Amino acid sequence: MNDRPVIHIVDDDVSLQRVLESLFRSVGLACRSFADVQEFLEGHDADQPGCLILDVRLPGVNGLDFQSQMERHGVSLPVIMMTGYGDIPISVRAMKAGAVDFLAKPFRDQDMLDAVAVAIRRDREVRAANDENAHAQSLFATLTPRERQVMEHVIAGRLNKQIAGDLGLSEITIKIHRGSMMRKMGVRTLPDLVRLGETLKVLQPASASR
Amino acid sequence: MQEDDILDLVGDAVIVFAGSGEIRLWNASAARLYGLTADQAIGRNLHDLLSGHHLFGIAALMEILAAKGRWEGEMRRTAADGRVITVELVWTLRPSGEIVEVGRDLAELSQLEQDTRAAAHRYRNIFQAMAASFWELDFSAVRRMIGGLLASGITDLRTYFEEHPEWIDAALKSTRVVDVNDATLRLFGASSRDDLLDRDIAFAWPMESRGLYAEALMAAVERRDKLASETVLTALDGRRIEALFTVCWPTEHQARGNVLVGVIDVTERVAAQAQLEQTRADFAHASRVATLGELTASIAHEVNQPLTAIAIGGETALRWLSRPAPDLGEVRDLASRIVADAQRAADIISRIRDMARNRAPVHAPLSVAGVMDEAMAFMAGELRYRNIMMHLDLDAGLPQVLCDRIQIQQVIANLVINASQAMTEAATVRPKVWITGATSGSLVTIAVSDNGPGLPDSGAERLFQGFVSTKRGGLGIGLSICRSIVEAHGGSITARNRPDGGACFEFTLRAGAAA
Repeated sequence: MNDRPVIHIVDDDVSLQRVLESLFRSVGLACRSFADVQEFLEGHDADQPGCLILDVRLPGVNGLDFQSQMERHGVSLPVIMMTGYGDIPISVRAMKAGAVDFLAKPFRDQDMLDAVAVAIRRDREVRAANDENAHAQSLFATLTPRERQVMEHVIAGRLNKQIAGDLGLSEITIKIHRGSMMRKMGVRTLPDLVRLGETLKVLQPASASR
Repeated sequence: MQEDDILDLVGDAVIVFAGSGEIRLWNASAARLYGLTADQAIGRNLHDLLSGHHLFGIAALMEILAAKGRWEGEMRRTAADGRVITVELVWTLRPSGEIVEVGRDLAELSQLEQDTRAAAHRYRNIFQAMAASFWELDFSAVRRMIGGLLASGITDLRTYFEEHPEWIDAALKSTRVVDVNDATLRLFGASSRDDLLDRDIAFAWPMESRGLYAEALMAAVERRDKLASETVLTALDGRRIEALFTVCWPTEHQARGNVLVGVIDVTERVAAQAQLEQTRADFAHASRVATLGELTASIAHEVNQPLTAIAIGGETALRWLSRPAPDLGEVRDLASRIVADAQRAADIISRIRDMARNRAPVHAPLSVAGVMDEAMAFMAGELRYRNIMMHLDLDAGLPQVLCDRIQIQQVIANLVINASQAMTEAATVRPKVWITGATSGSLVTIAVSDNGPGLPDSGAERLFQGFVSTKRGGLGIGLSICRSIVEAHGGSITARNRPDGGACFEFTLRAGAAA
């Protein structure tokens, strides 16, 4: 996986593609251009961090429709919408649907660079959160069913004695499972474990739906 | 009196009479013709004495005489012995108010002479009496000039005439006016015959019309007996005359090298026609402006594209330049892109200006593909804006069509906009518009088809009536203007539903390289 962010431009206007590419090159940002949504879906690397610049009006599937279908296509890049004259109501819909920014043509170069900076930062945060979650998930996956039970109870704030009672086991057995679980999860203290548990819990619905 | 003696030697009957009809002079020939001596006649009323009879009545003849100073014609009279004779008379008004009559008994003329005179008389009457302007021209000098050309080895006179306007000018200056009628004086603004007689005719032929003069020469050379064409002539006061020009070579004049030219003033008809054309053009223009109104959003969108690229390109070029080591390669690329985008924006504006301008239609032979490509370029923005596919499918080898480029593109634009709006409204899946062109005989058929909801139930014919619209906020003039334009091009327009869904509008244009 390459960590250098790439800006994906989807606009059927070749001229605009070229000047935006030059603009991003001038500030040392990598970018790739696509004429339409299909080309983007076929040509982009889902693991590549970055952001997506979409024109509202595109041949075939338009930018706004695509925005609502992105999750289905497994695309999680932050979106910057470009809009033309008369598209302001559409832009509002784009913002509500989670676009980072919308730029009405003609816009200033700095506005585009600012929007891209925000989008890349947001992408990085989301990816970092996803990475942390993925790490926690991989550790959690090494636990035995018994260790998982013990972990749930520990996080819930139960004492060893109470857990032993709940599970119908001896306190010494619980202590062994607990030690093994803490080691596997890579934490030393109860607060660390609770935080890790929160990450898992928060992100569990998303991972379940996948 | 000596004068009377001389008159007695003249074979024609010479009578002098006063305006009142009182006879003042009566020569020997008059005495012989009517069977009355001078003594019996002088002092009597001429018209009563001889029971002169003319179809118009004597009073009418006196009016003509008073107006023109001269009258000639035939009259029936009764001689002293009761014989009814037909005499040929020429009356001339003298400054004193007296009238000199010279007369001959038609019966004394040979039959041939009578026929010739009758024909000449009829010709003179027609020449004078017609409302059309008539010119008798002496063409003999021009004939000699043409003979000279042929003698010098020039065989293609038509080309020679085209290439030598100075020769045509010389020919006009060598064509002399022999006679004109009153209608000519009025039409060409002459106060009397003297303004026109025995002068050349170059003044009447503006440069733009000299091709027709050359054509008339060709007709003479090729021994066609007449030629007629609409043209523009110039009056003595410089006024333009839209004229129907005819020229013929009467056989009886051929020996003298004279030609007869008729000019009918069609200025008013031409003006009325022009007014009609103008009104039609005005309506077409109004409809075009309305069409542009419907395209405002997509036009703004289309212009915004190059503008955005120009703005970003310019700013980015400045970024590259302000680096410690400016990247001139990037700047050069950006600059050329800016130039191209500025041209792109200018092209869009120019297409819009063409559509928005009000101008008289110009019918010229044009390639169908050229006209259609431009129409497609004009509509491309709108169709992209509405996400509609469009393609053009013209038969190979379509002939040129005689049309006004803008008006035909207007028809296409109208049909395409109608199709795209109907499809947007009906939320047609994968909407598309396609234009086909095919030729059949001397007609080129252009069809605009779509896969939308099809025509409304009210019927295809009703669509072309004015102020009938199926669109919200539609004026309903678009299709009626389309029909008016197509019909003014000599074609027709029809609408129908396609068997597999959608509408198809078809119109025809006449093939033709030139008018």
